[in-house]
Amino acid sequence: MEYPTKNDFYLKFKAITSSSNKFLDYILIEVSNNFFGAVNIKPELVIGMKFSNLVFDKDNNLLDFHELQYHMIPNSRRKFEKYVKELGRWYLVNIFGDNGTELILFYSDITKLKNGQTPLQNDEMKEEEMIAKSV
Amino acid sequence: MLLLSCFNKWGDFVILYINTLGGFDVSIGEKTLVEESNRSYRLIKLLQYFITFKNKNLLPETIIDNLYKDNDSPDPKNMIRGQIFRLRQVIKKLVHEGTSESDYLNITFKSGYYCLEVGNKVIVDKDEFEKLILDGDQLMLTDTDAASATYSSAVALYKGGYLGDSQYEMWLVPVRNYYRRLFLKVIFNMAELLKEKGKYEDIMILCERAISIEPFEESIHIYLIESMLKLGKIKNAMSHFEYITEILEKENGARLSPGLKEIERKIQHNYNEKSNMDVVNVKDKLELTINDGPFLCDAEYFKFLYNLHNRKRNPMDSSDFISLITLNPTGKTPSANRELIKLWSEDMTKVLMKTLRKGDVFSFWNDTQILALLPDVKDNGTNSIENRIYANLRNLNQSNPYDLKIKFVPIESSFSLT
Repeated sequence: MEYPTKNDFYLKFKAITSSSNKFLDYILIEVSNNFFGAVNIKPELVIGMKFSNLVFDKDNNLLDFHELQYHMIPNSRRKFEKYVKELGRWYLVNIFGDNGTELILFYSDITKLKNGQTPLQNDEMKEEEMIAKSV
Repeated sequence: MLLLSCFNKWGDFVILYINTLGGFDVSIGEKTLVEESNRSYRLIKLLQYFITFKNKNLLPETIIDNLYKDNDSPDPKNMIRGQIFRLRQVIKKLVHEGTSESDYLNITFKSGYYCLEVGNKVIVDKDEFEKLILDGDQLMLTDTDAASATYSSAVALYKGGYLGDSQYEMWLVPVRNYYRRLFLKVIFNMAELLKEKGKYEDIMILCERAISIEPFEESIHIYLIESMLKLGKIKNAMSHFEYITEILEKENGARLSPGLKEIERKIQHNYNEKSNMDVVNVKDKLELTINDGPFLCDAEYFKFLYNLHNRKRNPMDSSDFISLITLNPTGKTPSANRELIKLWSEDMTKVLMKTLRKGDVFSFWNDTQILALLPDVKDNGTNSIENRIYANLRNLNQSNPYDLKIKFVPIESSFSLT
């Protein structure tokens, strides 16, 4: 069963370490192409920022990193459900810090699942189905 | 009101105080948890973890991941269960008999999650710290004196990094960063408030306290030096500037940041201004800087001099030039050849000092480019400057290993360096 992915997006971070190789912080190095479309934040405003500064960035605080910050450490894998009020959407947030130096924060839109809808009940899917039948 | 509720009917102190900023302790009256737990490192670490994530549901797997990754126990979940049982006993011993656990610290296990529930007879300093900052932020809009007082209380609570700086645990890093950032935010807000009121002595006291906790935060040093300058303590400002640039260079391996360059300029400006009071002194200083050749400066100062010159000059005058000297414009020489770049900059400094005139200014814009400001160059003088540069370079270094390009552009008023 396939689900729509229009509102899914990711943020990629790189670890900053001390000269003795101790983890200090993360720096945001990349976001997915649809980042602006999905959350209405210009990538150039956030790329290059340290994660500890993003937590305090009031202007671009839509994703509420405050809650996630304590889990942003190398080699960590965590999964949370999160409601983003400003977007009116539920997300499954995956923290994937697999190789120690990089970490990906993947936001997967689960609004329809949370609302108890299956993809087939989705209006867009119905429309697509009707178009397909009419062809 | 709070004082009355701190004691029970037998006069025992009943508030459990948890200290996390600058160290760690859990105490109630005279009793502390460090004693009750017989200094068991593991138990304390587990409690620290629970307090950090208090009132949050924690998966046993996450606790194992963060605290016991290196542990080779065959059943880590069972090990955690045992540790938590012991921790509960320690907490029980600490609080008075007959009191409800739910008033203090209660570790529960529900639907597969552990949770440390914190009751109403517990004060955690980090919560107080955050609350005071939030209150201060609100007051900033209406009552700056009250905001300042509230911020002061917050600053007094922050005695160092979260759980003390000596302990390094990966999971602690983001927490520590968060409280550190909060602390710095308060310091900057307070410094701005004091600056508005002209209370520079107070800024100095504030910065000195902040530096004792955050010695490598450049912005605090800048506030301190600025306040010294405002109070006329120019010598103190100079020596602190020298001290901090050396320390930061050692720590970060970087030369002056734009912020420090700006403060260096302010110090210089203040120094000159003060010295104007004594004419003899000015003469001495001017004589010290007398130089028959051109003036070599850093890129920032070059920008300043260029823009100043551009403002002063007659827009109709077309005899002022900017020259750009580029090493390896064709890419023949490997740009990563650090030895060559070092030699080139030494040779070019000697050549330009000899070739350019008094009143000309030049600066190393980057590793392989030099900018020169050449005012009042008459009658095709750029050709002669170019020829002299090449000739002097050949005289200095017969092998002449440099691939150079020298370009001259007349200065136009619309062109400014940023």
